[in-house]
Amino acid sequence: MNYFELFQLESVFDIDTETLKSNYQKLQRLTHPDKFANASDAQKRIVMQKNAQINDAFHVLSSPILRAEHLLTLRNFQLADANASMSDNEFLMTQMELRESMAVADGRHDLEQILNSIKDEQSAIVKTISENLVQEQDAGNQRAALALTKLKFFTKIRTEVEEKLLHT
Amino acid sequence: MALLQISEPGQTSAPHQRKIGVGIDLGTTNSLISSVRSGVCETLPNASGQFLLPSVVQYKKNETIVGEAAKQNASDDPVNTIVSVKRFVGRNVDDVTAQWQHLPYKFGHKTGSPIFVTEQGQVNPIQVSAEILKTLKQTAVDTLGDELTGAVITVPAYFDDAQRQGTKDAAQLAGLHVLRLINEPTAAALAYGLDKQKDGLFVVFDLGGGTFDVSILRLAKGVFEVLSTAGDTSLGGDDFDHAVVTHMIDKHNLQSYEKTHYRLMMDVCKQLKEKLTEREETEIPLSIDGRLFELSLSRSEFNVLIEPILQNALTICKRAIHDAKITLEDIDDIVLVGGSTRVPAVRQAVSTYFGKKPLTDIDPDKVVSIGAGIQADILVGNKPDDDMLLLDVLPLSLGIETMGGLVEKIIPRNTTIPVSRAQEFTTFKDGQTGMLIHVTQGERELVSDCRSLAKFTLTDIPPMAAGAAHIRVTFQVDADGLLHVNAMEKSTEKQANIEVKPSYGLSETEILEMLQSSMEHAQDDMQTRMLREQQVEADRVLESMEAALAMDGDELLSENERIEIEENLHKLAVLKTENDVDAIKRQIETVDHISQEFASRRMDKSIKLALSGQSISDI
Repeated sequence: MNYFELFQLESVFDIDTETLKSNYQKLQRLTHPDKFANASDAQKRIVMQKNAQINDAFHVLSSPILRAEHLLTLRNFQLADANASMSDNEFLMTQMELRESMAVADGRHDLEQILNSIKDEQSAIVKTISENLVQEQDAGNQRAALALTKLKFFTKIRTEVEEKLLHT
Repeated sequence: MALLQISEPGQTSAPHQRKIGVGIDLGTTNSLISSVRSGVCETLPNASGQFLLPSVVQYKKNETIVGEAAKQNASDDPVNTIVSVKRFVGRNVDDVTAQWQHLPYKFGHKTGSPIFVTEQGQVNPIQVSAEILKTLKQTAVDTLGDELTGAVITVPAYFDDAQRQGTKDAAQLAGLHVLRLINEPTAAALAYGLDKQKDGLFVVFDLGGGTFDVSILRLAKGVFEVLSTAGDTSLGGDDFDHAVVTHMIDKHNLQSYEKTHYRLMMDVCKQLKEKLTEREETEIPLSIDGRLFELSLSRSEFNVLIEPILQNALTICKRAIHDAKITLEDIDDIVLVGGSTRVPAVRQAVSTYFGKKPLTDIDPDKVVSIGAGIQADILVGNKPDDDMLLLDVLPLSLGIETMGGLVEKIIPRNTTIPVSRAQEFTTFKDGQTGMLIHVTQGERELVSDCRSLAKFTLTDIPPMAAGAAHIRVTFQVDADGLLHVNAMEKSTEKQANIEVKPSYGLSETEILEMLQSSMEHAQDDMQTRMLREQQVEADRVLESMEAALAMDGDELLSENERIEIEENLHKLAVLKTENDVDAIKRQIETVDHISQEFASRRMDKSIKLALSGQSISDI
């Protein structure tokens, strides 16, 4: 299933999020189970499946990570292979430094600073992904997949920092 | 010359047939029923003019009493009078007794699904809840003078799958057609949002006797979207009472009476608390074994006592705001629900934290049922042009047990429902034909810290080498927040059989048996009711299929496909007039089966039309 097509969007990484949102609402009004409260059971089943698919598609297209993965899958790119070959020393250093600064972080101010630097990293990586996915070519896909692995790491650590902030 | 009949714009000339939808707040302490009359949603009073039906059922030898009268008898006949049955729905008896000690009931067994042993015999929580629902249903039928089309029933946002299923089973047993289960905070927001027709971000702060729920919703152009929900199932007004009791025990050296007279002390302290809503200071005498203690409390002392509890509630609010990805400043309005929000300190804490005065113009006791009534009116189809849409979320993450008793999350909390996620599993041994999947609900990492929902046993997996079979298990949560699971072996596309063993509540067979035995006592028997249900369903199928054929039959079906559908519809129309329940049921299934492809094509067509900017009124 091509989720971009479901929302009648072009299959590209840089989608128009406003169109995505407004098309999501149109599809919701059309397929939400509440609109079929008096339909036959079979119809309800079909509607629920379609509506769940639309929710899932919206979830995927709204997230840069999932959207990039979806696009790469549509391009028949093997994501698993890219994940295995992670040997970027500079990035490994960044990871260790971040973990260290998290461990010694003292109070909200420190954590907020870490959070901001993570956000900056994330935007930079999303930009790299976007540039490399403009055209469908193997080298670009490779670079995007590598950047995705980094983005996942930062997303994971961001959740941890936010969780810490919530309890500080 | 005949006169032409001209109807008003927007109305049909056919007599306006209004369907009746009701909203039910099935509460722990009190229950209410509401319905839209002449465009306004109102709570319906019973014969003696009462809006609140105490959720109390007394099982006397030859009589079942529900509501106020049962509540009056509760202290004289505690064993046979079930109060706060909601705490038992979808839970095990040992969970409940661990949380609330000194319950006066006689239980059929000490573990597993609760069974109350009463003078009238054994009853389970579903049956007790059904008695309350039946009473409310009767109130509605008496007031509205007609049969009910369907009901929307509210549940706490934090209710898990078993508790939701239990509520739905009780409604079925009471003979109600459940249109939808909706979350209590969502219903409250509906009552305010649709009342004021105002877009914005709402926080619903629902503090009841025993539970706390907070939900954040966005209303924009008729779409009501739940952004996040959080809560604590054991935080509520009861904790305020406990805090006061503990304080009084210390102050008056009542330690020696703690075990024997705790219930009495709780009652007195509850009264103290309630009096402080209106006054700055209050006192009540407490008499134990002939000794008299003068308990006095000022509002400022009370506020200090409950401060830690309020802090807990506000921490949960913080979590909900974080999950909704918004900030405090984005919030436009705060809605208060639940009796404990009458406490001035609660209102003060909420105002201070959110920096805004909360909305209180709808009675906090009625607001949930009114919201449910509004939604029921829309769902029965009384407002076909209404654009309102309600998007709710899964309150607790769904996961499965993996190696070492760990939970792997399949669907995270706050995901918009309905939702469907697939997960692939493989076999561990050569020729393995079965598999056990344990589904849990909750946020923690260990299975033992989460709620066990059900165990699914997959059988009939085609025998293959270890790791060769790929079983795709699809977890689907419907708009009521209920879980459905199906499984398929990928290479052979063979559907695996699933046997569900719910960890709580009752199995489908048990529900059916209960339904059957309840019918034996009722006037209309099971057979009549089932026939009637199948006929109604047949009508629904015929009506919607004929409309679909008229609209899209030419465009989306080949000649042969169309003939096949039409022949089967004709067959169904004939069978409907006869009395064979099974034959009607089978024919409906046949029609369903052969028209599935048509339904999918129509859905795809309408999606294309909608997104290309053309409006389509109906599909």
